[in-house]
Amino acid sequence: MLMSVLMLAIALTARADGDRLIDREQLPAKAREFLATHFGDKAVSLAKVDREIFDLRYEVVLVDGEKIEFTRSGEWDEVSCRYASVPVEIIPKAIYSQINQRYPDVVVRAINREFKHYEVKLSNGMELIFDRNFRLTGYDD
Amino acid sequence: MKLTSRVALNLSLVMIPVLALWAALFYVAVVDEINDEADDALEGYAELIIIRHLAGRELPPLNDGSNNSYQLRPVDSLYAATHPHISYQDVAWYIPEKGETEPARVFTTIFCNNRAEWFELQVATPTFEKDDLLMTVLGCIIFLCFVLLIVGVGLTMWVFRRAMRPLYRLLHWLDRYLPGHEVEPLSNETDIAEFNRLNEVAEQMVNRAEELYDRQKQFIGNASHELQTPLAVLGNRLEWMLDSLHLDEEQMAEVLRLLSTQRHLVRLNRNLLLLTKIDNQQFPESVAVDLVGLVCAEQEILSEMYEERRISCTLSLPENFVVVMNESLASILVTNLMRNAYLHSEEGGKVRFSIEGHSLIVENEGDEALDGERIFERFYQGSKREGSTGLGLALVRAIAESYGIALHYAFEGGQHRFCLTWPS
Repeated sequence: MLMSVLMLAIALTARADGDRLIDREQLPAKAREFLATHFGDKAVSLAKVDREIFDLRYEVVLVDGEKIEFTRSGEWDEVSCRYASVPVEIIPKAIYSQINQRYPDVVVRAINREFKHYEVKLSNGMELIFDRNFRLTGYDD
Repeated sequence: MKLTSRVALNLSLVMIPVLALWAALFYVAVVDEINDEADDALEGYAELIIIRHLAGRELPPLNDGSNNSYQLRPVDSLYAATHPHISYQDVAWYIPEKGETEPARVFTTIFCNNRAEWFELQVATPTFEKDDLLMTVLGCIIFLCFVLLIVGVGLTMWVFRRAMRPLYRLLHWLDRYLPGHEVEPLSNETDIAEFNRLNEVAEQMVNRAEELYDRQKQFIGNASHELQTPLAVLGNRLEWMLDSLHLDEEQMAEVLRLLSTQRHLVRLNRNLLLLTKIDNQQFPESVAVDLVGLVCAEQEILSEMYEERRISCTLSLPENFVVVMNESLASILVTNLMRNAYLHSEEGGKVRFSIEGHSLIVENEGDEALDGERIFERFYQGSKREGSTGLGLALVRAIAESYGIALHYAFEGGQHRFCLTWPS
């Protein structure tokens, strides 16, 4: 019975989710600030808010194809520049220096900030995983 | 209905709606999740195209081997301003590579590039795969619910039956108990407090019933034994009165009536005593008795006794039928049944005595069936007859029971039919 009620709750809330297109001005202030600092006044091609069951996320695609994802509060948690490089200032210094040491010729395509670790994608196809203290803990190639 | 069946039935009745509700909600949730995932995949595909397009890279080929397809076209800013920037539709989508129309889910989005030019992108994915998936999910859910129901009910019944075992052992023990027979010890070991209590109570009740039964039997025995002497004295006194006192005719008739009542009392008492003795197994010595001889002798006596009533009698007997019994009990058994037949026949009626195989059958004509359950009870008399004590058939049953002889009464075709069957 409890299961049924739970399933009902999920089924009902699932209806509430979905994507909605927004303007740049509707992003949280912190997110707008982040865009202005690291991407200048590059226009937004597409910005949307993605409602999950218990969460809210913002996805912004800039006119040059960069994609940035923000949490509910406007903190960035993913920056992906598939055809360019992620602005160096975004990458934590400790991580950037390690990457530079090991792979001097590559650029960072994407950085993903998870709850306990960072995932960094490089232009040579490698994926590096760093823990909260910026120690390299894993590869994925 | 057995307890386990009832439990299984009730459980199913409760479980079916709960499971159905559960299955329905689960299905709705799964459908929603599948639709959501399909939409997400479509969006991901759209994003890939948009980013490539914005970065000025080569777009994926229209026919890249997947079933997805897209259309990208420039639109003016007016169109962009007046149309929703994100929309989902289920349409019949024409796939030019295949030259076919398929049901498809279409995601439409509008975006602008760095030269402030607007584009509309439509990506489509066929829905038949999704529909197949949903059908499979539905089938699986229904199947699993049935399996769950069957397994749940089956397991419950099994567990329940195991737990209830002491109850059924107790019931079997109670079934086997007969008052007046030896009580077999109840061996019904269980850890369950309720069943232990039930065992205890059942044993107490049976012992108490047995004690009461014994006491009652003893009382009847003692009472009839004690009555013998006063009854005999009473008879003697009455006879003395007839012989010695010079009574007139009226007084004499009264004394004779008293004497007849006294004889009835004596017979009643004797039969009661006999019943008690039979119940107490006080006729141990057994000999071979030929029932054919017994029946023939008794028939002669009875036909003389009831001569004036012109009852016709048919005998159908083999040469001999020897059983091992106490002689006097065998005689009581046979004569009581035969006398009963004569006694309850109308004038000019027919009686029939026969021995077939191991059975002695006594038949006489009658108007309607007797109460087959009660005729063998003590003092049960459907229709009162002169000279009947009401104990004749009770004696027959007591003797039959003590020798394991099956005793049946039936009424067929206007005939009362008493059948005694000896065990072979």
